[in-house]
Amino acid sequence: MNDTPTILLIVVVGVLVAAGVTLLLERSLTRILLGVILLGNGVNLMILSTSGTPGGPPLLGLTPVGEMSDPLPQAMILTAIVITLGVTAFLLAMAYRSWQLQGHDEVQDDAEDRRIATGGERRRMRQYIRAQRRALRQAIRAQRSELEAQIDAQDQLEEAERAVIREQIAQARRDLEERLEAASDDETRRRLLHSQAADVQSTVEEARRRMLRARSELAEHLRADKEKERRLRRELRQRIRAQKQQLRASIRAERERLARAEDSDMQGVD
Amino acid sequence: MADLLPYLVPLPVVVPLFAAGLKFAIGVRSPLLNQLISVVALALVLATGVALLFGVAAHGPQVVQVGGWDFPIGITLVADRLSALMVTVSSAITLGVLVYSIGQGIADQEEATPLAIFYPTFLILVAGVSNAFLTGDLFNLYVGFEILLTSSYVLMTQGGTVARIRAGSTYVVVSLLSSVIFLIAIGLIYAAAGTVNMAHLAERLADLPVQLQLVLQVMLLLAFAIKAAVFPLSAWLPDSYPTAPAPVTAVFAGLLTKVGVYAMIRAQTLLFPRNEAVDVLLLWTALATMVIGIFGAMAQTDIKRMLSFTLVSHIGYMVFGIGLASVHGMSGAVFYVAHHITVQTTLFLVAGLVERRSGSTSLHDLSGLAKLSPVLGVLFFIPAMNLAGIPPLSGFLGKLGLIQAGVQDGSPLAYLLVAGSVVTSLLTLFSMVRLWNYAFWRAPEEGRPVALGTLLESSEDESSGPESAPMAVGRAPTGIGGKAVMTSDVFPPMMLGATVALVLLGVAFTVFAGPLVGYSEDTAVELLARTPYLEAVVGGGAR
Repeated sequence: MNDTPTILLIVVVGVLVAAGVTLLLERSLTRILLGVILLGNGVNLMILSTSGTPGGPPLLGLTPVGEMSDPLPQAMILTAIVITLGVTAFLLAMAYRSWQLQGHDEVQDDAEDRRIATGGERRRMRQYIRAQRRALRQAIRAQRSELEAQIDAQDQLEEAERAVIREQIAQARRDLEERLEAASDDETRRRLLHSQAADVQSTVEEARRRMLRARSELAEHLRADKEKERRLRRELRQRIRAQKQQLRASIRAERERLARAEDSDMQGVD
Repeated sequence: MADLLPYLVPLPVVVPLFAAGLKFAIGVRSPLLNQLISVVALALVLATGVALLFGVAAHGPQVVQVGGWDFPIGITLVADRLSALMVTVSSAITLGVLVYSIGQGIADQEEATPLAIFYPTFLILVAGVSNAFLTGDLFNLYVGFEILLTSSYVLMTQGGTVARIRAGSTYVVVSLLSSVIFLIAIGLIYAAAGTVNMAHLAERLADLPVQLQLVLQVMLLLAFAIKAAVFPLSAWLPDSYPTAPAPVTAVFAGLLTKVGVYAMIRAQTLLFPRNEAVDVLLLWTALATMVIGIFGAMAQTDIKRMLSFTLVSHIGYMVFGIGLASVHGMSGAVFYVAHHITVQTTLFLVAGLVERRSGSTSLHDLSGLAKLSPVLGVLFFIPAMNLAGIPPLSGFLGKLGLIQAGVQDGSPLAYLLVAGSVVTSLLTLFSMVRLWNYAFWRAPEEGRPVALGTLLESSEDESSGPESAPMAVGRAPTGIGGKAVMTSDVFPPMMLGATVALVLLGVAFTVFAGPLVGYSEDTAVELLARTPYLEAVVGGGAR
């Protein structure tokens, strides 16, 4: 086999393949198609160059065997040309169909990429909601501890009041006993006892009233606090729900937009 | 009897092509006749495959010189053990898928127009696949690839809907690139060695400078690896496969990638045996394919996409076996190819049935299928466990064989791959169980089941007006021609029957694992020795 291909052929092959690969990297199917054609021609020329220097037609009786050119690369090129022709026709039909359906013939993104994109949005939303929940929980915790401190203070106050009342009762008893001892006859003693008992009764009564008032005040306070907490929680819940709905709506809108972009029938419908 | 064997070799290519021509001649007038011709043609191919399987095992590789041209000049067709096994398994699968698609077509009452394209194209695809398996000529291998690819373009974009055109664009452009790389490699090999006959090349390539050999080998492997979807050249597959109709995806998933794997086996054994550096490269890519593929599967929420990722992942097992380049590794790879063709196809067919039952393949929508349709549950469970490699199914045996081969190899990299394959197997089990839990085992009301008998209007369908829900894009089940489909509880008997048959074929691989492993070991010995192949092609056998 004579193996000295011309440099010109090699250069042409290089240019064709380079141009073909460049076009193959495009997004439009038509350009890809042109790239395939150039690439195919480049490769065919390359195969032609493998047959060495040109010779006579490889026909017995027409050319001496030694001067024939190598027929096999030509046969291979013919096959490759036919195949390229078929594939070109198919790609052309596909590009046309794509243009018919979508108004362009660009190869679109992978569905996976899209999912990851919406997934990022969702992740951000989840983080945001989590942060809000955390803030609310902290606020509630602070409120509770404040309330507990208030209750403690109230308890102490009550304790002190109780001590005072106890003291008063003891004092009254002591007074009573003193007077009982001081008074000799029964009549005066009974009268004295009576008035003294009424005195003590009223003091105790008064102390109890005060205590009850304090307690109901505290309960009122507690109820108000609880109410406030409940309201806060409800508000947050509503806010989160609204945000979730909004996110879902936006994702749906995005999907619809993409679907519309894919479906020619939907174009211009909105 | 043995004298007749060589005459069988071209049949798997000729019969489908002839039948396809016949069908184009008949046209759309008689759908029943059309279907009958397809089934008979593929049944003939299957019978030929089985005959070759036994004949080749008994009498060695069979050779036909097409057109009567003598050895280095003409195109050679060779059926050795590997080719015969591949032809048999692939024709069994294609027959099953054909019956399934006939059942689907009848059930959906398709108009005749897309059908007239579907069946002949399917047959031409089968012819291309058989040609790729049987050829002994590198350029004819390219032609076989082009035949199967071109018909796969047509099948992939059938119906011409938006989603399919989009997925088809990616698929076509990537396939074209791999074809161009293959063609360049062939041109360079011819320039270097002066022949494209594979047996002739096997003798001549060894005399070339080592660096040149490496360039040629890597270019060939690159072209085949794109077709086989080996990571990092696999991104096109999960993007394009799930959009096609169920039977088409099933046959693509089962066969097309395996044709790439088959070509890699040929390149690594016959053309460029024993190149350590390339073997190491293959082992690393095998590891990446397995692990990264299965990570992709774990993240999916759509059954078809998940299965596409497991497909990519399990290609890694076969590349692992090829990369080991030992008898055990090669035998494991051959066994795994046969097993995986069956299992992956079956799973995609079951996904088609799920889509028919529930109107969706998204795990968000599906629930309670095990209760609603126990048959579907059984049909999914067996191949899913088989894929994950649960003993005693054939998936386990295939993985075990590869792991034993890796341990026998003993290098640190082989042990790393053994670990990788065990992890991949576990993660496959995880994703299958996840699918099972969501789609089959959840309480029926947890999902968003579509009521039975709902007409799921496909928004891919052109005729659907603007009022059709755009949300349904890519989710509504569509028939072969992209038409709308009713969800139904009753599966057409032919669809169900074909799926059951393929599930049983997968189980048969387990039952007859002994002879099959023996066969694949013989195949591996034959492949690595090379002499039976070379003697059969070079030394006589010409016809």
